[in-house]
Amino acid sequence: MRRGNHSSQEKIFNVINYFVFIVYTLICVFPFYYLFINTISSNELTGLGLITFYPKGIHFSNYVQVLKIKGLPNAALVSLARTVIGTLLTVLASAFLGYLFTKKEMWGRKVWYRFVIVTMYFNAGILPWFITMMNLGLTNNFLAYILPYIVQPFNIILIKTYIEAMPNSLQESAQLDGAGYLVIFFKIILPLITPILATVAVFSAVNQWNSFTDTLFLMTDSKYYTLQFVLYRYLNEATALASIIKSSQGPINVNLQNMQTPTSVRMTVSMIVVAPILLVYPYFQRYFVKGIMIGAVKG
Amino acid sequence: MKVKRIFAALLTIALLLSMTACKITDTGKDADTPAPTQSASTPATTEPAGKELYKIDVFTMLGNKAGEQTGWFAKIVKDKFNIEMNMIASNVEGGDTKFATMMAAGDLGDIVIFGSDSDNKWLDALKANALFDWTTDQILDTYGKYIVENYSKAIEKNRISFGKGKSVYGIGHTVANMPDGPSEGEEMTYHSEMRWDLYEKIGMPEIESPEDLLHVLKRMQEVEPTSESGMPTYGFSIWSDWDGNMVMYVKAFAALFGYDEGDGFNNAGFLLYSPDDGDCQGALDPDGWYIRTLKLFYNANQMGLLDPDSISQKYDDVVRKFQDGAILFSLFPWACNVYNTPERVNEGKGFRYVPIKGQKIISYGFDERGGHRIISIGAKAEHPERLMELINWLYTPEGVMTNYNGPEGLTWEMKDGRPVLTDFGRQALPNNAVDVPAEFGGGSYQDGQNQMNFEFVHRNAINPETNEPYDFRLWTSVLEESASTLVKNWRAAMGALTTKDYLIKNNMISVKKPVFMGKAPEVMPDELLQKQGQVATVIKQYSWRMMYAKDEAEFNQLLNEMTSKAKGLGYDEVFKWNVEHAKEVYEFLKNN
Repeated sequence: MRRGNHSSQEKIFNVINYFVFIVYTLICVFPFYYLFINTISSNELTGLGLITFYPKGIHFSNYVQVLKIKGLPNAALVSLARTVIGTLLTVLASAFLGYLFTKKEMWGRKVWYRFVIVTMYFNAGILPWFITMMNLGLTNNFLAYILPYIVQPFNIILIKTYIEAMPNSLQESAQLDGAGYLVIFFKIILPLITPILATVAVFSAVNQWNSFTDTLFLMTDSKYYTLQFVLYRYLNEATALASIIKSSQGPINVNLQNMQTPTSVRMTVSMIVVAPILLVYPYFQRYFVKGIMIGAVKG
Repeated sequence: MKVKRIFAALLTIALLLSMTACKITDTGKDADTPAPTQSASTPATTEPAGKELYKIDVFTMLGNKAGEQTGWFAKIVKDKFNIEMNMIASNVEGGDTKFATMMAAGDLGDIVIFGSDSDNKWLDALKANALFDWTTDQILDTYGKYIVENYSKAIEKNRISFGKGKSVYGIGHTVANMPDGPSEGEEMTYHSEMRWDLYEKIGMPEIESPEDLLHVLKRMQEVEPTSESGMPTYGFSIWSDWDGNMVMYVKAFAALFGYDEGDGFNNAGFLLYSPDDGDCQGALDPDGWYIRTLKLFYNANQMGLLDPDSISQKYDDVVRKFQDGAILFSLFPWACNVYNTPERVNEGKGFRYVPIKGQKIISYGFDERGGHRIISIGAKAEHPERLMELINWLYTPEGVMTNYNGPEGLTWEMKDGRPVLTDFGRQALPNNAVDVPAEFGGGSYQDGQNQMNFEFVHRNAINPETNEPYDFRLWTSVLEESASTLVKNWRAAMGALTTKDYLIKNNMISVKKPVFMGKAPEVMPDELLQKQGQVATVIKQYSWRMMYAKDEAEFNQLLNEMTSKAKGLGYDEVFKWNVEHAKEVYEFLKNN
């Protein structure tokens, strides 16, 4: 396209286009910005909801307080470990199972497939789950973070349909060249399904990172506590403390200005929790783009 | 065909699995008879306290902090008993579901603290035999000597109510072996609390009656028409989110004049009960306190003294208004004390009690049988005798003083036979984040508090070793030392050290004794309960409309409508039930 030769219509279109997208970007970014300025503003003002566009009374004691929580580094490590290991295994297992379920010659394929899918719709509830986990020895055990997440029906469906949408001739030609199932899976399928793997990886990483109920019910030993759980408990403790202070008799000598309030704690905790997982998206984005390009070339 | 066979096989497996699960729960129930065998055998073989380190899980349903107990309290328990405590606090860790999973695991921890002895968690734990019987191997008599000797009635209550007359599974909170009398601290639960600075400004006129109160408040409002932030001030600002069978604030007003809701044992219904003479008033009695107070608030509204937001606002909104100084009167000292900041009270500004003639303020008496919260020992505890020793200590004067006021020598010390606060204590108490010296365990004072969050002995009971209440706020040394300008002004005018002092001196207290009739409270029949619900809705709706009625005629018309509608829905039946049971309670207390 030639430069500097836009018709007025094009210009108007561009202006509107840019405007709409700028507004859209702002709408997406603002909540995070809002969260951030509230965590560094005076907690008293934050509590009253007076911080909207720019921070006032800047201080960092919220972050300092949260970073002082006992066992935070270990919890972060556990969270990281479960996210990385869990995601890796989930992606691999989902890919392999998804591939298996596309093979018509698989023994009892429909039954197994349904057997897996059924678990998406039926859930025993928390107590039977807890008892099962307990009997399997998965309390106070790191494996509790990994094993139950390996077979994820939803991911399997995603991958299965993705593979089914690929031309069958690819696999057939590989077969003619003497490749077995495993070779086809690792050499042909895996490289071609990276976009959907990236999707599954993002889902599962976010899931792993955010999960805290398993820690809540299964872990009593603090060395297995995850970041989410530690922060969840901290948030609850702060809320409880605030209500105690509110109802306690007589004035208490505290600096109200920067004293942590449930709101400030909630926001700081959200910030700390959201930041690392936000990094996952840009990293996986290149796989999405590649996926679209592959599709375009083939089309 | 193949598919069917596979399904059959799967079903069989599923069935087998579910049966195994049944078996597991069954064995849990089978053990239901006397005490768990495992714990019965341990005490004989193990050495009592102080030998090897004993790490315990304390499951507290009242606690607000989970994780290892740290700081000064942890150090004391470690030094005295060689016990380390890990707190499991369901409040901050999953709530009821946490309890359910722990029950499912069959292990509630070593020490278990329940929020109420009438709720299902406690009863389920008893049924599932998840708690240790303190009478096993005479552990209670051997290791719980202080409790047995001093708080035998509290033990008896548990034995009768939950142990079929022989076993003991726990002991209640706020136990006190004190003579009859008010159990409150400096202040009662209900007060006529007013802005003392404004009351002084208008010359401290005597208040002859509740109706006279309105004139006084009007004059105070004229002196200070706006709050600090410029909002209009009101005499009363009330809230509706605590309403029960009646409008809460209206029925609570009667507590200033000797009438409290319910008899303190059975379902309260629409009953206003006088503990002094057993008199029973209904919400609809034309001469009763409920209607009289409605009329009072109606008049207040006519005079511009009732906050127009009252009908829609919540308690938190009211607290904000108190903070801002927009309200001049409070029925509850604990609601308005947010206004009494250190700066304001040193300027002589703040809320204090102002008497109204003819007042008889309801007070709740000490309970030697203990309250409804319970501390108990888990059935799977390895060394129940060491836990019993710990609990016993927490009920001794030494334990109670430590629990409420911190370690002796750090926050407080004895001087001339009286407890006094140290400099550190003045900074740290009641619950401040002040750094504790390493020799006392380090960390912050706040984090180092006993995180069980359980009041063993009543904080206002008298410590037999010091002859002063346990709570530092009531020590003579503290009361004399910490007076602000506001308090000094008040004391000079009233001639008493605290509100409670003043009320006792002037015989203005009506003590509502705790009732324990050796049986469960009467359960209202379902049909009556349903009627009560319907009548309550009518009473609440009309009460609010009456307070905001345009004129006297509308007030009276609404009153008539309320009365006829409530009676049509069965008010009389419900009230009759209340009165019958209240009379029973009154007779019981008179004869015991």
